[in-house]
Amino acid sequence: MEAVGMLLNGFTDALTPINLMMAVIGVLVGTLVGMLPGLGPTSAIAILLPLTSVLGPVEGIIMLAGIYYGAMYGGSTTAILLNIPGEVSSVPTCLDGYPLAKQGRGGPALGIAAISSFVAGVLGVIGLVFFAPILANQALKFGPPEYFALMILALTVIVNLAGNSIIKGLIMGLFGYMISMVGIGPSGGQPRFDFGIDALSAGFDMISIIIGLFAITEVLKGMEEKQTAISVGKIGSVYPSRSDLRKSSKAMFRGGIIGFILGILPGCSTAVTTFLSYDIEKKMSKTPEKFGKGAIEGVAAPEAANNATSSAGFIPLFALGIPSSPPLAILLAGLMIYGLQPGPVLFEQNGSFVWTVIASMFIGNVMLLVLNLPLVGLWAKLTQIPYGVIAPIILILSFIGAYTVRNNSFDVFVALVFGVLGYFLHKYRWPVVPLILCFILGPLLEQSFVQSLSMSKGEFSIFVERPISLTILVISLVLFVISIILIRRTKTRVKEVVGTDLDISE
Amino acid sequence: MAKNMLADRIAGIICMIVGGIAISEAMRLYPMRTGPLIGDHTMPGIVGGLMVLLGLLIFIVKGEVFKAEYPNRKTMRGMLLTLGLLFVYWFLLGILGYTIITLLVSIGLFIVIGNYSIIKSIMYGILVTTVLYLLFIFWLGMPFPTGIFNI
Repeated sequence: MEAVGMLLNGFTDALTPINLMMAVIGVLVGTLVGMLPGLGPTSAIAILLPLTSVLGPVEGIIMLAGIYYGAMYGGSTTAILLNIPGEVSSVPTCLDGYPLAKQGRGGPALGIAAISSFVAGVLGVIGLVFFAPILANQALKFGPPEYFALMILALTVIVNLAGNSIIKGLIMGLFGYMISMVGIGPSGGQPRFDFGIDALSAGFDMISIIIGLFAITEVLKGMEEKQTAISVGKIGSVYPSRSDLRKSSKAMFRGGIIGFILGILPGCSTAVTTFLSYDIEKKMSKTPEKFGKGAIEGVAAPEAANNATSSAGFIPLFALGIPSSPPLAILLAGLMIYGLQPGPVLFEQNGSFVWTVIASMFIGNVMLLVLNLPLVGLWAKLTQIPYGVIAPIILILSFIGAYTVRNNSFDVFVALVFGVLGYFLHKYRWPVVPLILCFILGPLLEQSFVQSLSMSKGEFSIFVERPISLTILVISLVLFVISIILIRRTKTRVKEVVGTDLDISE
Repeated sequence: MAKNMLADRIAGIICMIVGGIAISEAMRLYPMRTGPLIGDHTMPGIVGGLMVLLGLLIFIVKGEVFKAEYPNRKTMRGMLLTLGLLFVYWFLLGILGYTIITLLVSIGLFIVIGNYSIIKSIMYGILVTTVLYLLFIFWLGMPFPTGIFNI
């Protein structure tokens, strides 16, 4: 019950006019950018992240939560109307959403997608309210060895984010960790990897790397793919009929439950849950032959799973500091800009702030439904903005974003270099999210490792002698195996559906 | 035995070199340690060792084989010009100041990426620069370099 009281306090803070305005702006801007063809939620959040850094912590994070939900919904809109999935997790939505759009029923498909996202999102946030504090309470008993084991658990997520090659994912993770070590060492205060260059002694800024790898690379990819505006046909009313709602209600519920339960596990991304929920819905349907030809349940189930997984992903993120998907990894970076360290002490040290953010997630979900349903027609028109107008604006915003974090032109240079690097990494299918994840978690891992060894006078047995630490390490191993099995299954399904290997880390 | 992709083999070599650099950094920091495994040298050493090992693996283990396709010459030229403009933006930011260089680079980007006429690009450039000026400098009061013209 304490959680409910804290949540109500959170609502009091989140429902101020300025915070409501931030939520509205976040949802609108997130939807807009998430809808731009070729830009998925991860890139959308990466592009918009620096803009929130000029705000105060509460306003900034509320806007960021709005951007997150808006961008996720924007990705679904392009999947349904244009058959362009911004991320692999939107592929199942395309399977039935686009045929519906071609039949002139794009509106109801978008409506069902919005309602499914809302229902599952709210379910997910309710779960977050009850689960996250319990998990965080347990985690308060953690010492350095437990933290180290937790970081190892977080790194099993790499399997999920690695795409088609675990070796490439691991190398990228190590590379990310290595560049996070540039600067002053945490143990002895010695400069590391600075090679006598002054600019390197302060280390790399996380945001400039994210902007380079996501925003700038994305524009280069867009130029190559010659993104053009695609006209959208009639979409019909966005308000689904009673029959559509009846058909979709069970699918929403099942998709939401699957998405939520799997989403709690660190290492289970939306790509896995959307495919799984689509397949289960098809198997349970009395008319499986309609799937792939415009079954409304085929839109409801993956959309619900997508949003439930996204919301459930906040539980390991807030309670343990483990992001389970690429957008959450970027969001983790966003939280850290404000000096927040997601993990066991977050609820203890920044309780009121966290509950305000959770309350704003409810608000974000409501905004999404209230604003996006009536505005679907407008969003459909905005997909026709020429890429030649969008791309220069994204690049200028990226440039400003990289500069403003530390008012340092070196960060802009870093963003440009990582933009070029990201393009080549994409070409040769090297996943970039493990790099970001390890860049963020690496310093925490090092700190807990060195502290643990100091406690044990150099004995490694400290990690397996303490029950909690040992348990977490065993769970890491189990999750590692489960993740590999689920990823293999998803890869096979993606190949069956798309006809070719896709980089499922995207 | 089927050959591994050339790109993976090159990446393997780069990875081993980077790993070697990390190990040499660990060796440089080793004398400043507080214990054999306690100090700023530990993680660079571990990461370096793993990078060398994984670099070797990616070099010899056959992974997925595919052809990385690059765009045609015209598109490639556009991409290089875009990157060139961004590097000019970075280089001249402190000299010309934020407002002037943003205007010039945005006009250039509209010409290169959007293939718009010079007149149209100038109009778009002025519009973008004005909106960003109002947002970041006038409203949010963010400090940007003013350059030699103090604008």
